[in-house]
Amino acid sequence: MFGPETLFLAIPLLIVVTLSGGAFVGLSQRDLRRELKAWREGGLISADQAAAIQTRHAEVIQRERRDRLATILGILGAVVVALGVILFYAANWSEISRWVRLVALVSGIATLYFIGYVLRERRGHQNIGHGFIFLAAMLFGAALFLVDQMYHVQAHDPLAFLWWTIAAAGVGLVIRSAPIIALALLTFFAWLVYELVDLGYEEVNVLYFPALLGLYGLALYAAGTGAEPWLSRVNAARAMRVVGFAIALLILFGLSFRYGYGQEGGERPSGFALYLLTAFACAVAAGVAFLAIRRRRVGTFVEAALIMVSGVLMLLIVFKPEVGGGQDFEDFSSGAKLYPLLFNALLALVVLGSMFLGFIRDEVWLANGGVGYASLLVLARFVDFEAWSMLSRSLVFMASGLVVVGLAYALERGSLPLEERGE
Amino acid sequence: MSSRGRIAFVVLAAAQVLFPLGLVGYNEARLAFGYDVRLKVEPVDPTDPFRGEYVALSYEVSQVRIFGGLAAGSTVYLRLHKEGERWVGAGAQRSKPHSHPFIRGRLTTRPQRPSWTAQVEYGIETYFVEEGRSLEYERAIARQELYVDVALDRNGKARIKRLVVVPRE
Repeated sequence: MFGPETLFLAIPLLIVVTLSGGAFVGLSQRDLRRELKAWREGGLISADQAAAIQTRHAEVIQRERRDRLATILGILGAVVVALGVILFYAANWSEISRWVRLVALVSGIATLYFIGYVLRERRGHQNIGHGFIFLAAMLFGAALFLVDQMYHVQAHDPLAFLWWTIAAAGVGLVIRSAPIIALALLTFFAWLVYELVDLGYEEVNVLYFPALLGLYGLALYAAGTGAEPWLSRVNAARAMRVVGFAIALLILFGLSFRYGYGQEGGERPSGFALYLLTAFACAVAAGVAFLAIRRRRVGTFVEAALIMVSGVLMLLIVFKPEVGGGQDFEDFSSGAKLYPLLFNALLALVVLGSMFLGFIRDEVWLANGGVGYASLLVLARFVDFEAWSMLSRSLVFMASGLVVVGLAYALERGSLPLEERGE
Repeated sequence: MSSRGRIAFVVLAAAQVLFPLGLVGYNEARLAFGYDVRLKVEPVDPTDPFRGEYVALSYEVSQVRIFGGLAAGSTVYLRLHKEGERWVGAGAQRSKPHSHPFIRGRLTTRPQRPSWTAQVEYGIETYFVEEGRSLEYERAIARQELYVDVALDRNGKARIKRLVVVPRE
């Protein structure tokens, strides 16, 4: 029943789980041993103190790693089970009456919430209890889909995703669960997609579709970063930043292709689509303003600038489309060039910025995300045979590679002691 | 979790259990108390009418005549009258009719000159079938023997009750 549409929910969920799991916290054992040796040799600590620090650190790290792994496995397991349940009900197996299916599903939701609550609040099993609650939140979506199936609601009806968003957001905020809040943000993304498909604007510039979704991602990231002190109290900041980052970069990546630009422009969006565009653009601007006012962390200016430029470009492709001569890609002189070039350049800056910010702020997921999208960008441009000539791509690759090597040299030189720099 | 948080959690969990049941009650009421009409199904695509595990349905009444510069997305109403075993419509209108039965839909295209016809969606264009059961419906559509029994509420909103195969004489 939901075939490929379900996947686009699963894939971002897996991205979120992977990114939010990230690497391991803090210094590795090897790094700490090296540091402790340097401190001992510098006379800062004694050998006994070094041994005590090493032992204590090993215990803390082991506990944190076990907890993090338990959380990731719990969430991953819950996602896989929930998708299996959705598929089971989607198969519409007539051997089980629809009433039995419905009762099984709603009683499953109640049971899972109860077990999750008891494990989490009464027995101290925070992680596995959380996994049960997450599964219950996922199954609520399955229950809504089942009701839609029972009454043959339109296949692309978006309302179920909106109800799911409200339910998941409520539970996520009450128990302060980043994964469940991330689920709410993703189901809202699904609602947006289905709603835009449902609007079915025929003569409107089709680029408003990815632009609106991209602005949603940017708004999440900007708000999650700008209002982090307040949103962190309910554990929403990280979920908003991770989901926003994944969505925004996915859209930027899509807009870096020349396909889809070479068309006759089309009308500007109006009505509901325009309201959404305006709302998300305002949210991006507000998030950037918060960042600019707070400016508490290293690289905030760079972050704010990249968000702002991304948002402005996304609005420009909607309201000032590049009207090309068609999509004859055998002739590289035809078709849109400016916006694809700009988005490629912007994407390169964003992935470099993500890696930079991720490493200096010790946000491993951000660095990992930057590396992941950088790899994707390099691979895509390398095999993008029909859109750009080999000669132009070769020049861009070489120039970009030299710039990145230059950055690496500058970073390494900056970390060398003065005498080794020859100063 | 604080005591307020616990109460909020219990309320949210209970709401998520009751909400699907409430939706079922609402839909059952619409089916039970609605005006029943039978509509004839037209083939959407004789070679491949399906996507995923549902049947995409189109009807005789999916294309209507309506005058005026209406945009896609506008709500329209089609008064129905019985012809033999099935119900059909004539021209659509923008305002809700005073007498039943009528069906409410949404324009998916603008009315095109000179015929002033437009495509309409009524929310009944999808029928979910059990995995692997689509072939019999596909054949019925190809033979033009498939009908849909629909319940209409007092605002003209439609809900599918069942698919019916009526062999041609």
